[in-house]
Amino acid sequence: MRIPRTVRLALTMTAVVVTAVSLVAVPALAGTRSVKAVGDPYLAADTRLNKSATIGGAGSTFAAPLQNAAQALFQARTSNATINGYQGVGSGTGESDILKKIVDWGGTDVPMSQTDINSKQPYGADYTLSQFLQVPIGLGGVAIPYNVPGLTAKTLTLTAAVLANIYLGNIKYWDNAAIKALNPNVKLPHHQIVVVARADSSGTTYIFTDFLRRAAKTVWPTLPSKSPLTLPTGGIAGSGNPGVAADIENTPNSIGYVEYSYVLLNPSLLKGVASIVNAAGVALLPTKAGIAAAAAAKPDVTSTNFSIVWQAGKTTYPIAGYTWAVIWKQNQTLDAEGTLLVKYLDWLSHSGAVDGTTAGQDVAALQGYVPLPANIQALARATLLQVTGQKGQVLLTTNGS
Amino acid sequence: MPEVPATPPLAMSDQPLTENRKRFSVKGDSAHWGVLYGASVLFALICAVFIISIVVSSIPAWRHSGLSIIYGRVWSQGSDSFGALPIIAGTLATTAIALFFAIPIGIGCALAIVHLVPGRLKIFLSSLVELLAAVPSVVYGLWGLLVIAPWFEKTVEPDLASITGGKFPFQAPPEGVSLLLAGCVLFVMVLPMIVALSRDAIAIVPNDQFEGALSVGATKWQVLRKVVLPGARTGIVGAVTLATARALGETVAVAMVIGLNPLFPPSLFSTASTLASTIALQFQDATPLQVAALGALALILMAMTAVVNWFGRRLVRGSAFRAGVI
Repeated sequence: MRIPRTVRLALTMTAVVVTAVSLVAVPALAGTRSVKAVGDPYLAADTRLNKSATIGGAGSTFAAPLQNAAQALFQARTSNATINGYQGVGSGTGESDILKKIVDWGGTDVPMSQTDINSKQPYGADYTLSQFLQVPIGLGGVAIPYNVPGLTAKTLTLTAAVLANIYLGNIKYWDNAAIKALNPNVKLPHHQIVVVARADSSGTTYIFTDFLRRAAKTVWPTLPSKSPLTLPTGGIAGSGNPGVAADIENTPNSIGYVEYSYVLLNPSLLKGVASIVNAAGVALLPTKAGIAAAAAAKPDVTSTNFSIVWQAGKTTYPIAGYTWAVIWKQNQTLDAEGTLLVKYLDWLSHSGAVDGTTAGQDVAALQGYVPLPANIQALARATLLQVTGQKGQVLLTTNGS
Repeated sequence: MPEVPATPPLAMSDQPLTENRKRFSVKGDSAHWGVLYGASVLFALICAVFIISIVVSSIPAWRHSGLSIIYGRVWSQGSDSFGALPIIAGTLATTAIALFFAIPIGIGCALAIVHLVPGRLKIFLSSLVELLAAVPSVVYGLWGLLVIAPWFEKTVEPDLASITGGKFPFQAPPEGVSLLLAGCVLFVMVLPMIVALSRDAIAIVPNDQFEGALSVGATKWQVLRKVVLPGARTGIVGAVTLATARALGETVAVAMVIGLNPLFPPSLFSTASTLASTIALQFQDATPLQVAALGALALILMAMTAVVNWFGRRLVRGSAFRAGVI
């Protein structure tokens, strides 16, 4: 059904490793720790299926470590359910794929807009945004790893303006005065900076450019976009978050942006992660607490008002974002598959059940994401309750508490 | 007196046999002719549909940007600016680097396999070449990225830079992932193709000519250069043409090691982009206009391949012509 995307062999390998690790780690952890219920407690009984069904998703590589780890666990606990391996093909392609109905859900870090639909829908189709629902499934941050050999400092401090100038090619060397001013005690080499960015249409690029635009509008006047950035000479464009991570790891004097969990997945990237100056003027490394603070500073996100970058607060990490699953409001496949889809996404977007089993957001916590806040978990549930089957019936059944 | 038959028995049955064969072969011929003719028409039709559909699909891009697709210098998918000149340059540069190494080494290797290497080793080398030719390109890409890139960046590129003192074409900084690396990975990919095809072409040069030349006192090197290579010229040109087409169109392996930056590479250590890898990476999430622009890239790539083929044919025809004159 899907074209095998051999370009992403590297990602698949990562996926296999992540899945294997989580298969071991998640149940082990669930057994030793009682999972704290957050907000709307998830009920284990809800994931039972009467009929066997198969679903699959593709899109955001921001969400790939979460999807890969969670899918294996969901399949292990739910008989009859088959979830095809998540394809990390980038947010833009996730949206294209759901519009072409070649996946059951599309992963994107930027909720799909009518403009996206107009430009990507299949020839002759006339879809409207109201035909789709967007479910928040993860909360993460964008880390700025760098690879400068011989740098003894624990972390470099960078601002949005400096990052914007680096990506524009205005700051060319590591010992530029602007970087020196932010890191007065660090001996910086006179080496040319190699800028790494995404080659594919990417939600991570959107979150990063959204941050640059909001925090340094004078330097970075262009609107945030998923499209590949125009890089300075010598810049490297990598495919997917795994590609960018590999390029930074392999290229001395490079700097790039990846989803936080990719830094955790590639310990060699941990050697150099920039502290980013937030709206309160405090330089912070990406941490779960900092990302959670960003979410807490703007609790009322929706699929049309979703940006949580550059939020106020001394402890707020400034480059954070939600990742979403785009689905059809009226399920386009068999009811059994639609039921599996809503049950999986419901499980995925919730924290541990009252009965102590592990749900999607507990997996997320292990993968370097921040569990969705209670109100966002409720938003996911409310959104999924709108999904209807072939006869217009609601597919998600919650058997109360 | 025994009567001698006027005609031998064999000749007597000759007439009906010819008749039979004729009738049978006429039927067979028409069926054979029909099948082959049908197949070639179908092939021409498929090619025509393929080319026409690419031309048609690229029309919106030509309307949008005109010929600046060919000579424009800025390729930015996000802002719908489609200037493919740097991408064309990257494609030509990687191919040139690959052929620069692959042609002499490949032909030399083929000559060695046929005429210099002893029997057992010959078989071993031959099967090695065929093995390398069958390795999928993604494997070459991974190998280039994981094994060769770090070596290039730590050893090869700094050494090269020290030759020119960091001047053109080896300006800093060494990046590993680069035009040079992409060219070298392509070199390794097209090498077995050149070796295998040239080897076959060299092997069919009649042994009489080889031995004849030796017997009039030519040295082995002279024989290889003056007798064997000209004799195999058609096949070798064909091998190089195919290798060039493959290098121009290689997608996955190049996408993994070139850095995909659609800018003019000022240095061999700089990143660049190629037509095929740009198409592969950007089509998945492209608006109809962007798909058309990628179609235009495909058209440019096809035109480049066609030019290479035409040039190859000319070379071959030229040599055949000269051979005829001699």
